Amino acid sequence: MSNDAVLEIRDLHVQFKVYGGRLRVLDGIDLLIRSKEKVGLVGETGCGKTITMKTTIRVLPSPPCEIPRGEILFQGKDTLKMSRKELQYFRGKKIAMIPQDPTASLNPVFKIGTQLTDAIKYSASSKKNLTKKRILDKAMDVLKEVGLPDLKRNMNSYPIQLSGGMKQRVLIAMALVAELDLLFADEPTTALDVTIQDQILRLMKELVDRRGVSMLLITHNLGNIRESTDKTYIMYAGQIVEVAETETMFSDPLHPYTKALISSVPKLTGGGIAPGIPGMIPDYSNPPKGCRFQPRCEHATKTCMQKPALQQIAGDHKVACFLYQK
Amino acid sequence: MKRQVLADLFDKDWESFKRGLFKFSRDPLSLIGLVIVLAVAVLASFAPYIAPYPEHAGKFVNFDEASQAPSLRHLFGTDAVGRDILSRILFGYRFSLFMGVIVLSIVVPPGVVLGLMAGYFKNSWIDTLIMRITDVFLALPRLVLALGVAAVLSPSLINSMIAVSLVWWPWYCRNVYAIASSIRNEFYVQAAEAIGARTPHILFREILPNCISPVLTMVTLDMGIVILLGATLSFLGLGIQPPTPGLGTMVADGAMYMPQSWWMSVFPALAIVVVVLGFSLLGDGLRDLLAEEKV
Amino acid sequence: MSFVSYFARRVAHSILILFGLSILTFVIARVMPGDPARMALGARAPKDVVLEWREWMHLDDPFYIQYYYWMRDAIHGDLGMSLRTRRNVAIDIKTFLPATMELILFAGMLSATFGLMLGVISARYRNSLIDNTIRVSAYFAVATPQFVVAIFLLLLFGYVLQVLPTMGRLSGHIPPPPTVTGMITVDSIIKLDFRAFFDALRHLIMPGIALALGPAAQEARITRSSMLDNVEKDYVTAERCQGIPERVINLKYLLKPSVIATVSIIGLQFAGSLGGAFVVEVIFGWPGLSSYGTNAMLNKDLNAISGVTLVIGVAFMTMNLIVDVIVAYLDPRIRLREEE
Repeated sequence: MSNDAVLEIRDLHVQFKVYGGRLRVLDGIDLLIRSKEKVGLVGETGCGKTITMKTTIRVLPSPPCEIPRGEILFQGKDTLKMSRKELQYFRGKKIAMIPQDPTASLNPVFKIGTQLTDAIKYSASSKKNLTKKRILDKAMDVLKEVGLPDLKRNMNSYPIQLSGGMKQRVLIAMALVAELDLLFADEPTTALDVTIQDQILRLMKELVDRRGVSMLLITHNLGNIRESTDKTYIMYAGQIVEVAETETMFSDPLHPYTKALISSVPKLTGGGIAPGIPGMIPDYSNPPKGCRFQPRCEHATKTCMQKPALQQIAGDHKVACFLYQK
Repeated sequence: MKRQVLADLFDKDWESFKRGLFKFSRDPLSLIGLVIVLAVAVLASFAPYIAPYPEHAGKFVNFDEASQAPSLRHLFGTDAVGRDILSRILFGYRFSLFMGVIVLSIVVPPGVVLGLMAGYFKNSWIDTLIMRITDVFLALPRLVLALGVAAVLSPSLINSMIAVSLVWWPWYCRNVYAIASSIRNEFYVQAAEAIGARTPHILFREILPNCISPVLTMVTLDMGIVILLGATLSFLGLGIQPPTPGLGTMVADGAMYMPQSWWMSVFPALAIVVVVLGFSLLGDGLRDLLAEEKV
Repeated sequence: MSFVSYFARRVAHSILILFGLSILTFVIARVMPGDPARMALGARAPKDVVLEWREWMHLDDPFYIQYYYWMRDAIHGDLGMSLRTRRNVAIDIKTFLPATMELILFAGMLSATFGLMLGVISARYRNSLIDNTIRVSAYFAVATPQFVVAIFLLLLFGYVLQVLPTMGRLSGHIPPPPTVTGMITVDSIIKLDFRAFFDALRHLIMPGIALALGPAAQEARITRSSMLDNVEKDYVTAERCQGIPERVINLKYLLKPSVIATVSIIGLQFAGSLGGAFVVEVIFGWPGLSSYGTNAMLNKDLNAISGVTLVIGVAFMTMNLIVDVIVAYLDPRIRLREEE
């Protein structure tokens, strides 16, 4: 285990027991985020990105959700083995999350001020020095940081009175109230207008850089990845298929899926619209054995019925594909 | 192709409909509800053939057999004038279901149509007119309005059905109004308008399908409540008149002889509870079956 | 804020509806078959007296004139004379209303308390034995007609076990306290007359339970489903991620949104119990507005019918209005959305 690793996920398997059977969503995920590193996690909708993140903070409901194998080491400690009390130590204080849908993620019947001050209160590392004034000061600071300086008005508003962009800023503020080590951002701009998306993304990048926090950015938008991350993981149907430094990923993609993804982004420099990837994501109750991309892969062979290991190619660039097995 | 037609009726695709059916078949309460409703329907339809003493449902007295406790000959006992309670309950079911079906048939179509119109033409004079009238009818508690109307007209089954109908129609209007007014701004409605579709088309082919599931659920649940209201009216003497057997009237008649001749009120009361329960369970099950799926 | 305007608009709306309601009840009352004059004066009254009476009651004038007179009088508190009691209907109503109010309030408190409690317990211990027992009982409670519950209670506790009184509001041997609100329980507390208080309470229990059972079951159901719905909402996940402890989430952030749905139902059920009271009052011989109204209907007492219906309509609408206002106060989405 590397010394400056903030988050390390090893061989994570996550399954859901549902009416018709068992959904094998995550099939052996490996992930590494170092200190001050900005990592992107890319994949189609439904590939398990959000579930990976939620499992880390343990916010998935336990009866349907089961974790038969794997370790999630946050600063060396396995979150999967933590008790609720121990998790409290992390949530909101060292790990925070910016959710996908700002409208659904704010409690509609409480004022912004109430929710923000509670977030501040419960992310404080110690109960002392927690006076009302300190809390309000902190609220003011953090709102200013995200670009919502009109303190009185915003604190006294209800979520329904704010626009989508403003709500997302509030959520970012709530995530940043503590001295974080790791920030999760779950498709933070998907629910917003295109004009706002850019602002929010830049805001996040700025804050993360300034505070020296590690970030995991989950998205299906390759443009966001390119701008905001150092390293990128490509995920397909619950498996990590490739990881590389972001620039390398775009200049030299190796996995067939990655190649198809990257070429399917329309380029301003011309070249027309790419053919896209035929087929659909698999049914998780009965997924393909081995490499889950084989039904859609033009290079698929019989060997692909076994799961390819994540093989190192050069430096941080790793690929899970038999095309590159040594 | 036929399957899709059935699923279309509930505005769903076949896959999610099949899943819903699967869930329904796994839910014991819903199944019990279905069984009860079917059983009551069968009993009521074939009452003249199934009842051991069908003539007891009309003018009949036999004081030799009066006030008999439940026995092999009279499974639920006899009432004060010697009529077999089981037979009368079966016929009572007949009238209750009859009332329920007729009332809802009268009430649902106009209510739904008015609701569609008011919702689609929201904020116009049509909306205001329809909804204000609806509100007036909703301004009284159900029982009070039904009582008032039933008392004004002379007590009879038909009149009590009229009373209940007057009480009931605004609920469908209002619920459909809520759905229609929230949907009318959806894109597919606007698209239809842009193409120049005529209003009836928009109302019935675009908006109505969205209302069918909730309305169907309401109808099922309402059957039970209408029967309940009918029983209450007849209990008070304002509905079914003697010698016709009404479940509520039977409870009222038997009340005087409690607790000694307990069977006279208890069995009709249980009969009411069972049928209302059946529709409640079925209605809830239907609601779950037709509900939007969460991923 | 816009809260005041919301409130004002609702009130204006209600007044309009009330107007329509008065027309409706008036029409219903006047549509009755039978000659009210004959019923009032008796079958043997001489013809000219009958005619004079009809003229005095404006019975031969067109509808709208009759309505006008009635409305004019009503606004002045004069609801006409009851044919039965020969008193002003308004006075009759004033006499009988408190009894009904007492019953409804008692039943309302019972059902709200138990409904909420059982609902929260049910949600908290989801799928346990307690939850399933509560849910099944709720189904039965809702399916049982109120008159059945009433009769059952009456039989069991009144006749068989003989622990509770079967009729009226107060036992014969206990003098009622001086009338302040007209509600015996309240009045006796005011005068510290505990004997009367407990006796009145004993009389209230059975009709109260009969009236409260159905509503309580509905409220328990709604509370349960509301809480279970909200637990899965995104904002709960977000709050957890922010480090807010489960305890705080349960007692604060989950409770308020869930309660809002329930308050709505509680109010509606409470208002609806005005109707249920009709049956319960008749069975328990409770001298309230409903008995008066039922008698009026059976006797075709026109003025009384119009009066009672109007008063009940007003009461019902007021209760609905109060519920809407409370819900709007609790849920900012509603009153703020009205602005758009």
